Amino acid sequence: MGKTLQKIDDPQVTAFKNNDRQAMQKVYEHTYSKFRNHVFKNSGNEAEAKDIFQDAFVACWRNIKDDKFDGTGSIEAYLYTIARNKWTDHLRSPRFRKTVGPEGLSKVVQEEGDDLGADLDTKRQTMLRALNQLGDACQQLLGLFYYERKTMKQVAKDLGIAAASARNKKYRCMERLRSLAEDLTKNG
Amino acid sequence: MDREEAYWTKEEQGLFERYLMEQMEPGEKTGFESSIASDPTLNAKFLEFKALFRAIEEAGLRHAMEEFHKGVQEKGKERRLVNTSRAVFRIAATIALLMALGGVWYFYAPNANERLFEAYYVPDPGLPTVMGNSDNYDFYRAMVAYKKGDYPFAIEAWEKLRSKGVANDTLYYFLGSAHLANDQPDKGIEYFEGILEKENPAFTDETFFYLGLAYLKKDEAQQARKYLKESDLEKAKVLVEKIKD
Repeated sequence: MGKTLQKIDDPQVTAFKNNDRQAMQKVYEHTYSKFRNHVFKNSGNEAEAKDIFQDAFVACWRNIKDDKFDGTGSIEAYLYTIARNKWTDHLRSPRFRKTVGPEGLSKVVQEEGDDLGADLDTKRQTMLRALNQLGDACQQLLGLFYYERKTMKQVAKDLGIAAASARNKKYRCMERLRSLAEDLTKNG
Repeated sequence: MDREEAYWTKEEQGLFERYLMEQMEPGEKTGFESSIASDPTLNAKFLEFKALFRAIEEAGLRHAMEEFHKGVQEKGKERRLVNTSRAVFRIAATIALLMALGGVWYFYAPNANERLFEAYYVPDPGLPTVMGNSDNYDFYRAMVAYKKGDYPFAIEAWEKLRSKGVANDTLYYFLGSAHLANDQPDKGIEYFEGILEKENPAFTDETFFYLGLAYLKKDEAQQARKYLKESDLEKAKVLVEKIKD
């Protein structure tokens, strides 16, 4: 595991860790327009820019959560570097191989986990697929609780059920999700 | 599910989620970290929980990013508007000239059918959305947007459902309604006509009424009249009498 270098009191880092919508939206908007320009100048289009950027945003967000962002620069700069590297990888993929120049190959920030990249990615995809197979009610409840970070009381209110029942459901939904993921891991 | 043995205890889940949501006091956090370091079984259980927890978060984030992206596009549009303002100025100057040259009535007498459309068109109010009715979460999320007048969001979400193979009358009807409300009568017409191609379609009176309005907006009086006549709604009957060729 990487070294823990994160500055605990960086408000942006805390905001990302808490999935704070406003803060993340600001970083997204600010960085995307810059990245989009880069992609447009490098034989890309809007749809590609969006896809690659969103993958980069997820990678950046995960690294922050795992304390792999060292906090030396801004999150915007970090995100931009990840996105640009991903774009370079995209250009190096067979479809684009002929068009990329040597300056396009520099790699400043190595995305963590790249060495185990393929395996990690498969596992992540499996988890996401399992989540997709979970019933809508469970998906909604878990999303409200774990992503939106609502309190049990708020979740219960949103769903029109008692707090104790929401807590029980959350527990069972996670168990259910785990068994779906297990099945997918075993049976592909 | 109940017959399956639980993998985590409730206490374990509570502990893991508090750690992952950064809700532990520093002392408790250190204690937890050392217990997973010394207990491989607990560590395995924690890692499995964490992987699923992150997947839930990632799904939430990806959903949120679609919203963020709309913000970017809105801002892009504003910028483009500024860039095109010179072109707009030129067009305005041309219009002013044309008006001065005697075409004044053309700009001042709005098309009669357009006026009728404005007078009679109110977007369908939509379906009630109850939080907790989560069978159709995506559909109702879009419905909330539709009712707030955020038609582009509703359209995108519903078209996503449609591309996943959902093809019921309700979805088509509200896709048609959202497109029409979003000033895209042609797209609206496609969906409304799609409903009528089905066997025993639902909302036929409303569909005919809005189809008529969509054609009226396009200033195609004949088509508008044809569809309005099929609707049993009172307002359709009144409107059809007023349409001018």
